[in-house]
Amino acid sequence: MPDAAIPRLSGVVIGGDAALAGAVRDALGADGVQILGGLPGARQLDILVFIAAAGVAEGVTGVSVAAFSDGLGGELGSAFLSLQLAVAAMRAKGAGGSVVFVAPTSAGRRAFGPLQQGLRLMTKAAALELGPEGIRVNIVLPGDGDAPLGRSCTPDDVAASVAFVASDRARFMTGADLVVDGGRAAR
Amino acid sequence: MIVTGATKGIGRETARLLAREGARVACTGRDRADGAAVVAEIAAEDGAAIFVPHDISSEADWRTVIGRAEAELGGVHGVVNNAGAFMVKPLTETTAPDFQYLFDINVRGAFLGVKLGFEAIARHGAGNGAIVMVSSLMGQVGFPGATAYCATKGAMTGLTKTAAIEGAAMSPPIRVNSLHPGVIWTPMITGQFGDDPALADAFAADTPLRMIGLPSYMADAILFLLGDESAHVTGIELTVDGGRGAD
Repeated sequence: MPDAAIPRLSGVVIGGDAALAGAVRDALGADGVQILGGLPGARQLDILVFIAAAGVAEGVTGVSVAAFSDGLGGELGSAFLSLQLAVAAMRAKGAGGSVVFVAPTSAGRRAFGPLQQGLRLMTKAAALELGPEGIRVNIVLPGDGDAPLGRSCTPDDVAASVAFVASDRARFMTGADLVVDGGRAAR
Repeated sequence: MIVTGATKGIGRETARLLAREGARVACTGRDRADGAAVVAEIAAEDGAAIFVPHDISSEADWRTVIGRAEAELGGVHGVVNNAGAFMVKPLTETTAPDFQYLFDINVRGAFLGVKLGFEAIARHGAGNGAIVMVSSLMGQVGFPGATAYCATKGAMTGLTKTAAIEGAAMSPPIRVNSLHPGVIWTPMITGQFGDDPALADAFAADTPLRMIGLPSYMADAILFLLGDESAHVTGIELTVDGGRGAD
């Protein structure tokens, strides 16, 4: 007889500030996902959410090569390691899985734009490689600042999209972008 | 809610899901028998729906659909511009009338749906108005033998993004997004290529997730794009294709 105390799904949320990470955990929790403390301890896993840092909000001439390399390489490396650890735990469970990267689109206009684009391509490469195992990989791209809809993107906006992509409702979605920017990129 | 092409495939599953979520749905399409069947299915699940015959390229038909939705369902919250025509022919065999036929249905039909949908949603004035354009992966990448179809789906992208910007400036705002399905097992596909399980297996083998898309998966994505969860999502292309377009 199944134990009602054992949740059907487990997930890990890495990165993000307290407000965003908290909103994502709450949204996943509302879908019945048990949030685990971290990846090294996860023996079995269904969902990984990796929230990339926005990077330094400076133009390409306003940041040193050392800071650029550390920021870009460090964050991409963290995402890569998180993906590898999560996939190992998803394989251990053998029920597929869902990886959701989150990368702010404002970075696209600043020195750390390559971080966002790097994560987009990592998303697509991982989706192609892991699709046959039923592991989906997608990226949510929140925008900030002025938007046609007349307000900024909130943590709850991002969390709702992450929860959708992570869930079975998006079971045929992989390798895809979900832009949450109030119409900014449509202009 | 208005769902065009609700007699079959993605539209039918979407109409059923929206009705299960409590929406009153105007199901439109060309086949009256199929339309009656969808309304009966929805009624059997305690949902509310009407069928309205609809050639989406006809402005008069659109005005009839919206008039009946307003009179019989209490107004229009959203529109799912789902109906479309498909054609596979090499470019050199595609005639100008072929091209016009597809454009009239896929582009003129979607244009009328957004334009008249905006007016109807604004009249209703309830807020949270949203329109979903059901485009295709073929609106994002080329597909040999589908020049005219790809062109119509590409046109829908520009229509969607511009309407999204204008819709955002309305009060209350209206969101507009496009959904880009990969290969979905619907009458549009089986009517073109044959209703053969071996073909479904071949499509699945050619899809990174190793599965064939089902209309219900698209209905889930459309519900997301219509609802509050996507309150800050507008003007986007949402690709749900099993990973085909990621390569």
